Amino acid sequence: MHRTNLYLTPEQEKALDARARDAGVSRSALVRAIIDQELSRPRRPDSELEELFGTFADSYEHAVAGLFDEDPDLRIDR
Amino acid sequence: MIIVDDKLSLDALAGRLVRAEPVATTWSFHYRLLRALRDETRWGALTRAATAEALHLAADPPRARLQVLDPRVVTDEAALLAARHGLNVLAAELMAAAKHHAAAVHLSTPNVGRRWPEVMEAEGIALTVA
Repeated sequence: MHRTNLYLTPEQEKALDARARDAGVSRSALVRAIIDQELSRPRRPDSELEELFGTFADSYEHAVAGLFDEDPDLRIDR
Repeated sequence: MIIVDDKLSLDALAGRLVRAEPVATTWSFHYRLLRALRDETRWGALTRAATAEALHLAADPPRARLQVLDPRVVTDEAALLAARHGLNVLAAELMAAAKHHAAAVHLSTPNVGRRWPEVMEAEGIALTVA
């Protein structure tokens, strides 16, 4: 194994330590397990993601109607 | 470079907006896009089908498809344009970015503000509407 330094927020550190205590493992072992779990997750093919974004784009105008009306900085003045 | 709005950013991510020049968007339009995608009440089944991977990709787009422009380099220009034309942050950042990067602006029809075309013309910014 290789040694790696990571910067964690205080909240991440606290949550990691709590879960490591519950699981009875070290913080390092828990981080390795979380990384393994994330990396083993199957990735969607690019074509599926493209289709999803395309569907979002097709529905965008309808879905966001009025969403920004209460924020004058993000409102389109029409 | 061509600068697009939130809706056309989705087209760029979907590979449906492919241009010879780099496609970019402003921080404010990128924020609007993410704000909209994170609002699950508006998408229903569509959001349930959206994986964390898709949202992650939208939050940090591949530069080859969509660049998110750093707003800090245009803050002063945006403030100047806002004061000169009475623009909000969204419009001021867009027009300042277009001037700073010597870029054209490409917007979807609902995202063209009532006074935007005349202000862009006065500022020498090329505008096309999809």
